[in-house]
Amino acid sequence: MFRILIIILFATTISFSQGLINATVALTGNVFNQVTKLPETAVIKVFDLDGRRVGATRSNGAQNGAYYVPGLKPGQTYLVEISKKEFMVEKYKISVPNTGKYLEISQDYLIKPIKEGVKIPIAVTPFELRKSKLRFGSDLYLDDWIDVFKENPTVKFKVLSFPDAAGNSASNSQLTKERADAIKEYFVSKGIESNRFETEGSGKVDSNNPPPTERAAKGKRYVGPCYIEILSVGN
Amino acid sequence: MKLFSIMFFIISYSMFSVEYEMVTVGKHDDEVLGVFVNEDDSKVATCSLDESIKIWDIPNKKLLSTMTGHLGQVNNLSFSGNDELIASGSSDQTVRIWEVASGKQLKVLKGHTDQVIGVYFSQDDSSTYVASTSFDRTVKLWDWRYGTEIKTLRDHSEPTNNVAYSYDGKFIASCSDDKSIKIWSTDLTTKEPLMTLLGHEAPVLTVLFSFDSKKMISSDQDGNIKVWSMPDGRLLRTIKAHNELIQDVSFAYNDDRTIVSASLDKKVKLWDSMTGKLIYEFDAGVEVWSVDLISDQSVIILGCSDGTVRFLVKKA
Repeated sequence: MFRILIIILFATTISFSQGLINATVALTGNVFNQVTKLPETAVIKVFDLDGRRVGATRSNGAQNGAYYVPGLKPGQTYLVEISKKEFMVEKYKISVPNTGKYLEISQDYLIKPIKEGVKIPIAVTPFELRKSKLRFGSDLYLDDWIDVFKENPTVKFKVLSFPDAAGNSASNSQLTKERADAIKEYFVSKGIESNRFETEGSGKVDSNNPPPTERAAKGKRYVGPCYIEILSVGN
Repeated sequence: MKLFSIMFFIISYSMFSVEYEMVTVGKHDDEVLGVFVNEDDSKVATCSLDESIKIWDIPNKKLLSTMTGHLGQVNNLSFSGNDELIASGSSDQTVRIWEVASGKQLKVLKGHTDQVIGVYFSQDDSSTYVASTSFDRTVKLWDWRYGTEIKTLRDHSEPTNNVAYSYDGKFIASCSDDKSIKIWSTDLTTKEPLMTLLGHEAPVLTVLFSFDSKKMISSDQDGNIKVWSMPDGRLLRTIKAHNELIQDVSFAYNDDRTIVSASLDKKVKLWDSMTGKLIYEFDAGVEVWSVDLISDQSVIILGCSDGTVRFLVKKA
């Protein structure tokens, strides 16, 4: 009886393992312009960690930027490369969960235009209110930029910072310059060449994203935004 | 005139069969945006503009722990069905998972492309899934253990404000500035909404299923509450409940029909969802962003704009 039980258990394990091996998962989501938030048509290539291409597709800018890449394996990590003319090349790692449960997993991507003068927002301002020291945990947002800098080595940037509130222009400028410098120093500490950056602190609030004046239901805490502006594209 | 005043006082006093007294149990450093009572009524979690989450002992009215890690205001939070975890959503665009016992941050779920406004844990014992809404107009469903987005639901045309899981695990409801409520399947493949519920004439700020999953309530920026029959999505009634926006509503577990609402008009009200009748009203004297109550309705918890966490305790 015990032997039969062991055999059944073994067979079940084999069958389950094969199920995992055979299962494939599709990566799906949408691609948007990080500045305009509009959908974009871009080329998406997926590589395994040995550099072999395992899938490619094009997001459909006319249909909300949707894309679909089938054939990924559970338990594997892949590199997703997104490219489009006049946009920066971007690479992201994605891990497929080690389970046969999911046929699809989802991931949206924001891509950055590569045009002189374009200001690309840093997703979350990495400072506390009225402070210029980088917050603990801000690497979660700043590290997204490191690969972008490495993948686009000829591009030069300006780190631009705006204050938390209207007020004394001189003290606002001092705070925001310190913030811009702190962000630059972080990038340099991660191996990006210092001469690829300028920094600027604004004394006036961001006219495109000013502090809220009305009482909002939620989403009302405002810390002055920071941007990465493209200074020159290079060759 | 004096006699009239006395009579009015007697009538006012006897208008409600219940009475509560207010106790301030503690304080965040800034406005309290979310309140969630766990299933056994022992703890309440609060989240705040001060970027922290606090857990309070309800019977002893004491602060148990404070959890920090978000890089933005924490807009909402939810206990898991097994009470062991908390999911929180923040303006830092992440959903984070916390272990209640240790206060440890277990996972950062990054995928929304704007502020996360609503978050709700699946209420089954496995507590695998978390739903979230964001100003990026999407509803996302996560398997938090793998840190994986299972599906992204897109049909709202404006920012999505809040989200709720039905207690039977079959549905997710989301509400939006587009004045609609959408009902989605929790299965792993369906991405189209099962239903779109219209009727609100202002941005819909919150949605919540009853514990038997047969009713749903929603509240809006104009101070209205709507009660819906589920799963058919029939509007049962509209209650003109408050003079200001209602950010939060909740069902009482013991009868599954009493609802509590709280508003920036500083009032906290109990309603019979079946009749729309006002059961009780309390003037908190402070704008209230968030509200929840324990199963027998003996304690109502308020998250207030002055940062205080207050309990309304039923008088014996």
